[in-house]
Amino acid sequence: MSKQNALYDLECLRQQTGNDEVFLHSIVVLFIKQTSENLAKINQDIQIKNWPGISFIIHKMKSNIKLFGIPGLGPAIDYLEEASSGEVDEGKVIAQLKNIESVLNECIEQLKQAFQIDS
Amino acid sequence: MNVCPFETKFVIYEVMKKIPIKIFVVEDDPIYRSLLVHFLSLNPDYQVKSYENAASFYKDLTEQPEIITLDYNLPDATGELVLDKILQVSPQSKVIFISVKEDIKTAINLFKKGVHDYIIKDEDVQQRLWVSIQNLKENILLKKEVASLKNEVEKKLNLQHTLIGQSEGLKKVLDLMQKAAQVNITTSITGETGTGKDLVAKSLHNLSAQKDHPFIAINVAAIPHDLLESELFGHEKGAFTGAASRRLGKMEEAQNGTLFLDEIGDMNLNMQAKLLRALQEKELTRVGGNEVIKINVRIIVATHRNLLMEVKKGKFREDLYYRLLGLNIYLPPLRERSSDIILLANFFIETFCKENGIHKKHLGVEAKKKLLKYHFPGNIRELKSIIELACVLTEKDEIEPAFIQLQEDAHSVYTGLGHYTLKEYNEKLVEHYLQVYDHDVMTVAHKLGIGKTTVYRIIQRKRKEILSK
Repeated sequence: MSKQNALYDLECLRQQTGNDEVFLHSIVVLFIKQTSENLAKINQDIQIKNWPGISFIIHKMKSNIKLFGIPGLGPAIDYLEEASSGEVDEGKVIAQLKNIESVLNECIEQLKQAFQIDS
Repeated sequence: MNVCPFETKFVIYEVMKKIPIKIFVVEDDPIYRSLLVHFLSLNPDYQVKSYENAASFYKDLTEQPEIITLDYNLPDATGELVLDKILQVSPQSKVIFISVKEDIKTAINLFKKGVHDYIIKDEDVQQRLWVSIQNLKENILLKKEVASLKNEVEKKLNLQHTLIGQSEGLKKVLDLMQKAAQVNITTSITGETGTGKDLVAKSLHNLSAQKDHPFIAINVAAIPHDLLESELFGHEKGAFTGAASRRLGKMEEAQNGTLFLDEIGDMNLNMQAKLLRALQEKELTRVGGNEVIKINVRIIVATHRNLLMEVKKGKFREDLYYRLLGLNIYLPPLRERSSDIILLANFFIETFCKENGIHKKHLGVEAKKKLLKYHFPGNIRELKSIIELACVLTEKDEIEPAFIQLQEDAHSVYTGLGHYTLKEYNEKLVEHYLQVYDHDVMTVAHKLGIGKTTVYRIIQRKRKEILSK
């Protein structure tokens, strides 16, 4: 996969890990595990309409999405962080979540390939 | 190796720098937690521990880490709740909040509670954290240094370290000090010059209920009479020429603490009346001011004069004498405490050698005899100077009598310096060294850092002088 097609940009993360490849690898593994777990939790919360729970998870995922240089998710994340308070537009929330899930799943696949990580 | 006293502070600071700083990272996000721990652990000065929730962090909070980096949104507690717990259990810990959310209102509230920094999780998080911790590190090291120095000072002012000796005279002094410390009574310390009146005053303050408040000392004899009132009571702006701003007096500075008036016998009658009024009314007015300021100060006075005699001569007010006398502690002169001379001398040797980083020396039998025969007109202060000089002059471990330079010693080159010309002084110095080194010209020349011909020339000149007489 070419760098141009990648959904992520690890420049910031490389800086923060001091270009330590072994440590970087371990952080990528953690990201994949953490994100997959969070997406699964979000799907469970959608079933029970736990909007504050979803907002909390999204808030926690925000910094890692930034750290991994995944672009284009900012507006969706901001919307979902605020969506727990007041009246919730369920249709819009779910659509935004599915968009985020799709991008992140694609991103995870690309990272697994790039870092040769087995599922 | 000699250690300059100015270097001592630096050495303490360097030692402090080697003590690791304990940092707790409280972060539920495993990625950020790993990144922060990895980054901070790169510095060997930091001892880093991490926690994924508030509950596990609370268990270790009693370890009182110097720095805590805290995620604002933990799964089991909000940042504010965790902060309250920190302030309660480990108030001296410095807290740095790390949050995803850029919320100024939250940040201001946290700063009001005493948080050191609020950092947003972005690409600069590590740099900002680094700067923040570096600033804190300096602050923590300085605090540790201050605590260490304070401890040293307290040790030095501890009775066992301050008043050395086993004589009956000293035991009586210690007994009176214990009694004076238990109550807020005016205390007068009398004794010859050099008996340690100022040290007794400081120790008394440290033993008393006022110990956590200031100890302010003022030497009445050292301040011109015209300035004493302003020094003691302070002055308002414009009170006199040169009074550019308001200045608090020593009495006000000593509020709730102790004011030590040394050489009170040298105070003039006019000032004595003003002091008496301030002590009776427990209030003062700054020079040039109208405001009456209430004072709560413990008074300790000292003098080498016989105040009762001064009262009889009309030089000291009788009413002030009785007000100040309070509990009198008389410090006996060293000649009346001969059993303490060697103990004190050994203490001064140990302290001087330690402070100056020189090999510890001891008094030889003859040197001890010489000290015990002396009458010490300058008391303990004189003994200290004699011992310190002996430590400097002696190169061997044992201090020989020749290096105990007493005032009555005819061969001393260190007394009466003002009476000699430089030429005479040089001659006396060479003569002294010739005596110490058994007239070995080469050694004397080497020790004094001069040529042997200079030594011979001085010997020749002295010979001619003796022959001509």
